[in-house]
Amino acid sequence: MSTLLQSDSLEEITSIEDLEALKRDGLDSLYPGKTKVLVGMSSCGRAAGADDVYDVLSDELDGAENAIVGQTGCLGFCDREPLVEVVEPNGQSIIYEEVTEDTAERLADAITRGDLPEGGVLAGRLHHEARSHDYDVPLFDEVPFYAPQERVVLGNSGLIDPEDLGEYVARDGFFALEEVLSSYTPEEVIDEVKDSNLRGRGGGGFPTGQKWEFLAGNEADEKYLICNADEGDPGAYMDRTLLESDPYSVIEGMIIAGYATGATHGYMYVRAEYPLAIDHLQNAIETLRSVGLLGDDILGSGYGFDLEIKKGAGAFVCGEETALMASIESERGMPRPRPPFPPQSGLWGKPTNINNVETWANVPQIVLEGADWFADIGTDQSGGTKVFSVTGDVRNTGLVEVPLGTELETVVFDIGGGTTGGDFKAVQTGGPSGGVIPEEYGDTPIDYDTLSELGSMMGSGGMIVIDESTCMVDQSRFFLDFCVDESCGKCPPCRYGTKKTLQILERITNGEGEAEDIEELRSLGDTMGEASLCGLGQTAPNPVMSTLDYFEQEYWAHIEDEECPAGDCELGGGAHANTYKILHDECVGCHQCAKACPVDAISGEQGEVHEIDPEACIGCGQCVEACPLDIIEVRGGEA
Amino acid sequence: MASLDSIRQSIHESDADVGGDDAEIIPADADVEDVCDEEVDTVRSLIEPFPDDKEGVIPALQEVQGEYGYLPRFSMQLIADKAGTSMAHVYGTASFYSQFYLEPRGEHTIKVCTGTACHVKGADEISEEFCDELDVELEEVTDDGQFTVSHVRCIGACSLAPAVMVGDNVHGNVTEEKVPDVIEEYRGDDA
Ligand SMILES: Cc1cc2nc3c(=O)[nH]c(=O)nc-3n(C[C@H](O)[C@H](O)[C@H](O)COP(=O)(O)O)c2cc1C
Ligand code: SF4
Ligand code: SF4
Ligand code: FES
Ligand code: FES
Repeated sequence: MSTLLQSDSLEEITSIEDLEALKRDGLDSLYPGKTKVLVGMSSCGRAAGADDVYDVLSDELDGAENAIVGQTGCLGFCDREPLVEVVEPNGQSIIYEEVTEDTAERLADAITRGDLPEGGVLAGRLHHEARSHDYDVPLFDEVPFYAPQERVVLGNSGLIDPEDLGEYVARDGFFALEEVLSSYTPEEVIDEVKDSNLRGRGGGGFPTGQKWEFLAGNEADEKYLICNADEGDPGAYMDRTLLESDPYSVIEGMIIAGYATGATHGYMYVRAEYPLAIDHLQNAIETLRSVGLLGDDILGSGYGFDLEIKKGAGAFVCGEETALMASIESERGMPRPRPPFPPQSGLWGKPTNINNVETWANVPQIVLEGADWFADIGTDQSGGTKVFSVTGDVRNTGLVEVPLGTELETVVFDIGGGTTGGDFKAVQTGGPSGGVIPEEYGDTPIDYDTLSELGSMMGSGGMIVIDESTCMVDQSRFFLDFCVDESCGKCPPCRYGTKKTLQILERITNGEGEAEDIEELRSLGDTMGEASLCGLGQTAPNPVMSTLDYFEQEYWAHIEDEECPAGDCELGGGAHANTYKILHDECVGCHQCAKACPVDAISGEQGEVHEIDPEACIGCGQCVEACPLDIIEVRGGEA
Repeated sequence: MASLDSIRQSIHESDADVGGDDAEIIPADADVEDVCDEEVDTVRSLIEPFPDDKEGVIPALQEVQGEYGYLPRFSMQLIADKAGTSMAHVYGTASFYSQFYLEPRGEHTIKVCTGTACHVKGADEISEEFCDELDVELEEVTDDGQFTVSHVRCIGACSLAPAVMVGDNVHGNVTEEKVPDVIEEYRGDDA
């Protein structure tokens, strides 16, 4: 689907002049002097129907003199997909949301007439050299969803065609590599990364420059780099989106690290459930080989690096670095004790450095803009931004990139638009290894250390907003169920501890809990945390421990009153404060509320007056949200 | 702190078999000698491109499963021969990873995401609806051999939860009402 450039038609790139020539071509492709219609075609976009929208637009605009259709990646506002951006020749653009085949057809008509429709607009944007906007639409950085964000890692996502090397180079891609190869010593690269305060985005937050230094310091005939794209947190999709939307930036980061550390071969370990990411990576690797940016003697420097993809085989524990390496070696993906650490003895026993996708993608920007610039964006302890996938009971779900140090509330309320149903209760971060941060700590600045102090962790970037209709015991049960499935079974504390913990949680959510259970959960958690071999087992108790810390009364309500205060888990108990009522006189029977209700508490055929069954209702408030006429009343309680 | 022994004791014996053990029973499927030459040649050519050592095992397993939908026993024997390793190693590897199936599957596996975002948005109901509509249990094959319903932990479409993956296609915002449409999209289609 690549527009102008094809890998086999590209010239070899051996000098900065070649790179500059490709940049000019890339700019022509990005801004072709006519209207450019960009369809967001990451997995989310496709799942929402972007393929059909793309087909309609290309058919309708086929042969049009004044417009051309192209693909791009993720714009971040994933729940408004399919997103289509129309960039006019002067650089001003309008982004349309929730585009259907019908609206795409109308859009194409309008474009042919040299016109742009007013409905369905998400925002406007200024591209390239444009400085002002003729249309009366809010601009990208004025929309509440985008205003607090800073797109460093996602700078190219939703802008360039991820399959087009020229468009990446047009955004200064590979100029960082050129600069490094032509004017930095390996030590200077490492110093730059250390000064930037970049910390690993895979969850642990280890300083990246320091890791590279370990690897550089170990002599060997072969050293390896690995990109960890196993993205195991079941509710996080930053890495997938980044690989789909801007694969070249990740690869450029790896080549720069290769030069800095003396590694010459890299692996990208990608989850098999991410076919589009694998596709785009494969295309990128082949294109780079064909132009000589992967292989021997890159840009005439004498330094050579090559890269291959390994598909994961579906085990969460393979996100752990030693298990991941075992998996690349086609062994069962089980962790092994450290030391030796990978920089001493890693893949095939050779020195190895492993970083997360997002960590790699930051590297070219640090070189281009400087370590100080990067360090200034974040906090004193951690430089730069972090990408989060914000999901759950929140109005705007999507990929969000904010400077480290941004308050949690900014993400939940300003960007996320607040909760969908009931009141904001907590944010879950770090997935199955993390915990919850309750509403009263909403002003916490997001950083590795602040989140750990509160008993959660940064994790890889999943952020699940929880409102009062979610049962915390059930939430813990969900994560423990996950850990029981995913424990590799190698060490007993994890294998038995996760099972035992799950059994207790199941008992409690079934109303069969006992007073001793609370103590037992805590003690099991301590044992697992201390005695497990790898991070999976060590952190598996976190969801339980942190909900016990902040919501212990919910556990007691299940045990002593046999009631679920949130009215959510098996126990039900419907102790929610509000009652919901549809104003019968005004109901038009659109059926939207019934579709939204998660527990099928609303009856009524299309076109007939609908009714809520108060017994079944769990008070989540989804129906209020869904009703286009706003005729569902909330009564009583604390509303 | 709970001692490990007390943890062990309090687990029912039958429950204590969470992965990790080598002592699994190898399914009694056909051996290489019992399969026709054509099948053997097919598998040989599928696994041909991968390295002749242990590194090639997982990629070869992935390739064979891509073709057969599961891993017939004889194919694992061929992979072990090529990689110069034992059947026990290949089988141990295959059984460790949730991606590999040792029994035949439906032509299309409907993977219902039960990751956190989808769980919160009612993935369990969607999964049940697929099973009811197809009249199968989870991980079973429908009578016509077309479908298997299965679970997966996050397919990276969390903002469109609940999400379902069939082949390489992701379906977002799936509701119980949409379930029959998703099934129809693949029925009779032998891709
Ligand atoms: C159970 C477990 C799962 C993990 N999953 C991932 C993952 O999906 N992605 C990731 O980048 N790191 C994951 N990690 C962390 C890695 O072991 C490793 O620390 C990380 O890839 C290092 O990269 P970074 O320094 O750039 O963060 C996981 C760790 C554990 C213990
Ligand atoms: S802690 Fe759990 S996942 Fe990690 S090695 Fe032990 S059993 Fe395996
Ligand atoms: S009727 Fe359904 S959607 Fe409305 S509040 Fe009750 S449970 Fe939620
Ligand atoms: S906007 Fe589509 S993947 Fe994010
Ligand atoms: S949790 Fe279902 S797609 Fe991520």
